[in-house]
Amino acid sequence: MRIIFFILLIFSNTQNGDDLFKESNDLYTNGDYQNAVEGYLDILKSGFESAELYFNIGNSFYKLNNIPESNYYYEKAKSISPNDDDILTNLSFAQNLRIDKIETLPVTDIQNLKLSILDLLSEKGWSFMLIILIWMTCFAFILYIFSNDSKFKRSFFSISLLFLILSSFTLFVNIEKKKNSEIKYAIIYDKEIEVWSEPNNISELKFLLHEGTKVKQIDVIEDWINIQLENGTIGWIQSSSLRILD
Amino acid sequence: MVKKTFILFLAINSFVLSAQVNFEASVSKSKLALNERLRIDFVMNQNGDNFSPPEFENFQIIGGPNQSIKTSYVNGERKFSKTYSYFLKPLKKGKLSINQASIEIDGEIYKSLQIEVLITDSVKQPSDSTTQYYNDDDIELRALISKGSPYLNEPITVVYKLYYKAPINISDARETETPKFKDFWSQTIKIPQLKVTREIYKGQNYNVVEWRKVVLYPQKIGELEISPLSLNLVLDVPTDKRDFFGNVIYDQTSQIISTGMRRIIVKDLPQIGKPASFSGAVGNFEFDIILNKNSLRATESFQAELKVKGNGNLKLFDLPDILVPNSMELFEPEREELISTNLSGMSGSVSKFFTVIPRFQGNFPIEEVEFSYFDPDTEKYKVLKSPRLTIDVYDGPVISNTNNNNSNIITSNDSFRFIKLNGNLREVKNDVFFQSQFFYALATTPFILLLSFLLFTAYKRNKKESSSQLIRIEERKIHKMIDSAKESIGDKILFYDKIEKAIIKSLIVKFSIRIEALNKEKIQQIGQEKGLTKDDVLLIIKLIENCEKAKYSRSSDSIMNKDLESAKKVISSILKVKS
Repeated sequence: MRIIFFILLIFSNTQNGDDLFKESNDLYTNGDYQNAVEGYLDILKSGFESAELYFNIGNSFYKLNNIPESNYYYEKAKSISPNDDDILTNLSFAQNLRIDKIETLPVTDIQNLKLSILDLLSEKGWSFMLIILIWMTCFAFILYIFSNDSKFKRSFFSISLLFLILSSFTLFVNIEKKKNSEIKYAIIYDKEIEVWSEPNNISELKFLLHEGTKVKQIDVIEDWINIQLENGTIGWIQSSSLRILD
Repeated sequence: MVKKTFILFLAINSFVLSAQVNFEASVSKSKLALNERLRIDFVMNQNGDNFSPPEFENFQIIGGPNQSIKTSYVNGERKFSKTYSYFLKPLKKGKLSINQASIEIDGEIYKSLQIEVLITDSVKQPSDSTTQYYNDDDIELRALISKGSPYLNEPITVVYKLYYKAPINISDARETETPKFKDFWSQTIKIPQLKVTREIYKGQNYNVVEWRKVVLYPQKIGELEISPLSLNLVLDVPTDKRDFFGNVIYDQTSQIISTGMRRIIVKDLPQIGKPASFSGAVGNFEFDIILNKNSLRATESFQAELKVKGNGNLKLFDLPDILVPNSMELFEPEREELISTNLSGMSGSVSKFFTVIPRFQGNFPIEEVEFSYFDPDTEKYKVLKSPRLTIDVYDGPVISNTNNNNSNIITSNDSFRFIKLNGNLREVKNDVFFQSQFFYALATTPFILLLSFLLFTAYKRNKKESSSQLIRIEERKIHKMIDSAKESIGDKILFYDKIEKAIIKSLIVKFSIRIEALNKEKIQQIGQEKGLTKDDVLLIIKLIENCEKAKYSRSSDSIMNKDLESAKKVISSILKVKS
């Protein structure tokens, strides 16, 4: 009885969220971006998320000319569905607003291939893929054992071998994906922040960064974060000026 | 006696005195300022000829040589002195020496001693004038400084004014020392024509000439010096002589007049409340940003102008830069100044022009620009902010700088995408599936299943193999029995017993029937089940019956041979049956 009630509660919540989503969409369509954002953020606060929700928040912030927020939410949307064309297009619109011009390091074809393979599926997707492949491997192997006909036996054996290779490849992808997911990125929220060579204010001031720029978090010491830019340079900034994408 | 000696001494003494020639040089003072004058006298006590003065290096002879002869009789004794005097003006500072002068007296040449004089900086009021027909008050050069302790970069003005009053007239003036404004940014305001105005100063009417006007912006804090301005004036001074008509005769004389060294103390701008964007602007300004276009095509250019208007040190500070998104190309700014300088300082406007070319489409913000200045009147910093502007760039490519392949795919004429209408909301779950317990459970289950299958089949095969091995051993035993039965042809009881045993054993081994349960019906039933032919089953039953019978009846070797053959056939067909 209690479980049913709980399920109902969740169901009604989702219903509310969907209604709020539609309302906010209407507000957005009518140009009331501020209220639309508030609506979307309320959905987020009530414990729901989706790439579409993040995308819409990003759009609203873009319309409000809020550079760091729009970049942040587009990145969030991208982390859920990495290959959505809409998200990628609008993310580049938001990236065009940033003040910092950071040349990305050249990427080799192999790295490129690796990245595109990793981005084919989400982290969960790859994990399920691995499970499915393991099951298929075992199933094919069992079939190989039980089949009496030598012709079937041979083909089942090769199929199971193929699945085994595929699943070990997927396992590698999963490990790599996990490694990638452990790297934290952050968006700079301050209009202008100083990047220092050491985690204090008395060391050498290296350069300035501006809002909306995406940085990689390498290390954390108290309220200082060691960051790396896309062009490879590293430095320390105060963590209060960042928002970490997690 | 004493008297006598005294008279004698006097007589000798006077003789000596009258005989001694004296030639010496003396100066009116040994230490004087650059704008003061020096009189040097060469005095001799006997008349001489061929006076040759020294060369007076580093001095300018203003007057002289003046010759004066003085003869006096004291107690019937004649005293003579002849003086050559010169008026000198030093030309430089420092320790200067006046060389020896020489004179020929009674055919002998006498030389004066060398004299050293110390020349110091100009002083405001020369202590002595050679022609003192007027009061010191009658002429004055003043440097009027608008503020004695300004802030850094706060304009101050220095006006040099020459005050003089009757009876002096000035016929000519020449600058001998020009003030130097070290550590100042200075601009002299041109005075097209010197004008004499009247002004009441110290309660008296003065004629005033503005000689020079300078606007100064101090560039350093602390005590700064303004070096003096010195003027060499040619004055018309009345003498006490009168001409035939009773008019006063004027005499021309030159005088050097100086302002003296002036010091001002420059205050540093307050550190408290100093905005981060402060770049040294002091004054009172207005700040604005002007864009010449609000919407344009990509790759077209627009100009952003930052303009500071007002009064202050406009030439002495830099304007802030604008910040544009990285996708816009920003060219080196141009600076344009429209400044006029007057006594109150610089006023006008300074503009910085930025040419910007957006390369991609979108709605780009131009961040607000902050300009701050120090207002010396209120002694406070003021921060001005330009409004945040947006520029609509249409009709251009969008850069998709996606991180997954990092090649900049320019999707031409792609527009900003509309929001997604379908929410697909789901609860936020932060659990990671990979390497979770559920994941491991799912991943290991097939292996466990596989393993158990393998174990099961292996067990089964093992069991089967062991039974078939047993069967093979039994089969060998059966064959042996038949062989031994063949050997014992003739011994009928033994022979039939062996054949019977062999058949029964083969049945037991092959069909795993217990020996107690063996009867005709069972054999029939199992035989049919296991796929033996009906003939075979009948043959088995017949043979077993025959064996029973033959033990107790007669039989020949040929019958025995025949039975042996049929037993062999039956056993082989039993053993051939697949279990």
